[in-house]
Amino acid sequence: MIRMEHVRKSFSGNPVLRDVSLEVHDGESVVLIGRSGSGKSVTLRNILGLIQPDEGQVWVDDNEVTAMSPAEIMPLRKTIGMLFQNAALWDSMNVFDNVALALRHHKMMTEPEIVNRVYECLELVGLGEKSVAKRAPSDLSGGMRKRVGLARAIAVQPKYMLYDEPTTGLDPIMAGIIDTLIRDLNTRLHTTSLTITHDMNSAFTIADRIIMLHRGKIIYSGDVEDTKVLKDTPIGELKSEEEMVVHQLLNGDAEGLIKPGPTDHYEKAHAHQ
Amino acid sequence: MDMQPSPADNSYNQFVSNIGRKVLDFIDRVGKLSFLVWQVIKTLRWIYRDRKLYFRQAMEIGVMSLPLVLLIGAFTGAVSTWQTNYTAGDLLPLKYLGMATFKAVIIELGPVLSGLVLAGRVGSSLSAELATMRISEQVDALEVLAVDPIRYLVSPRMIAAIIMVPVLVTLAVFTAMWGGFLVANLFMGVGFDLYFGEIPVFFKMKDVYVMLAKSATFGGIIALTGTYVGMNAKGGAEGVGKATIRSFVYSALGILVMDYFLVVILF
Repeated sequence: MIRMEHVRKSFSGNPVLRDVSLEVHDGESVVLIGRSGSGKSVTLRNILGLIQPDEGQVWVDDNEVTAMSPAEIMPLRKTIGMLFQNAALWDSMNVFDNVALALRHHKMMTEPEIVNRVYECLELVGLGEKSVAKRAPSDLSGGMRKRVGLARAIAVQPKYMLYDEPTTGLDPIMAGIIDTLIRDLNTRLHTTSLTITHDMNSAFTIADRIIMLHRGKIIYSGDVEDTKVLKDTPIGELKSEEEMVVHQLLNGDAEGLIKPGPTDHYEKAHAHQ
Repeated sequence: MDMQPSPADNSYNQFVSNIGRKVLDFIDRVGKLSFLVWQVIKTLRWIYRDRKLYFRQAMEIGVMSLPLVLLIGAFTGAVSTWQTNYTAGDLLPLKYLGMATFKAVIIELGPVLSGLVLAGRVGSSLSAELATMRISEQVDALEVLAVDPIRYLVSPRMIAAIIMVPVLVTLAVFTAMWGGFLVANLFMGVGFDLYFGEIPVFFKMKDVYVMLAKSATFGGIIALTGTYVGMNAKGGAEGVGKATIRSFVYSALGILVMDYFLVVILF
């Protein structure tokens, strides 16, 4: 289980996360939604121990990430896979070596086993042809790069998968393929996953539960069916400001409590908290 | 009655505060650089297991820089011989021309000029590569897969530079002597024996040690600066550009400052 408790994080005095607590249970697929700059990526980086929160605790299973040294975090990271927004493939290596790097570095397998594992992972993401494995990342389309990033992440057989805006920059068909792939992999590999996105179609395809982060705080958590109901609820029937904010984001409405700019209606009303 | 600070007081306070901030910033950077060196030292126990990474960087830093360094060496020797003849030609017999060029090149010009050129060729390339990796989350991707970026990216580059720069400088000194001889022979009519004859007489092993010590230090400065600046780059394509410039400026400055201290220490 991934657990964050009362996490706060500021950059140069600007609060990004303000008292964030969340749990992702084993086997669950949680999608974290929110506007750009709401603190979604910072949440993922805190879980991975890439940054330390100013306050609060982050737990992965029984390990308190926030209390671990960089050397202690390394073994824990072998249990977490991550798909980066732009795939973050290593340009100096071909596709095969990108997927094989962690396996080779950690001496997890013999070379023939690594070859089998790499092709197995590439096959899982629909890139099993040998010609693809020899190609440089720069020769791949955005969708293929994401799929190679996914193959690289699952190669080490992680217990947890973190996805950072997996469908950003992809055409709707490729976005649909990636969503389906993530959903299938979560089921087939029994991974626990946390995905951040502002693509609502993607969120509804991938998620068991949807959480909304707004202005550094979690203002909503509900399962997919409840969230779909909330999305389709007429504005006049919404019961709270939080619901109105979630409704606005889910529907992508330009009008509502969320306004562009550093402060919005909702922010002003909750500035004292 | 409250005393309001005068504009002069304000500007003085601001001046002192700026100086203080710069000093703290400098101490912070020295601390971070020292910590990076310590992290590199800790990864050296993996040097045999990671030997392929080290060889690849040795090729990249050493072999790929060879044509440039040899060219620089040849022209440095040629200019050095010409200038020595122009400056001291009336006082210095021609038989000492080769020896004077050799001393100038091996102790000073070879390591420093090669170092400055390599700060541009190698240092900028290291910082641009690592800055791009940092900004495009490739360094984060290594960390997420539990691959230590210091061990995987920084240590091979730093050790390769420390080993390969002395090799490059040694070869540059050889080509400098041939460049100098060519000029002496073509324009001054100095033969092979006359040009090279006095070098063994005045040759000291210490000169070689100084050249190696200087060039290894300069190699370390180039790699340390390039990797540090690259790994700490921020802010998109502009960040990569700034990292490249910073790397060259800091390396060049570091080489010239360390050259002074090494001369004071070694002579």
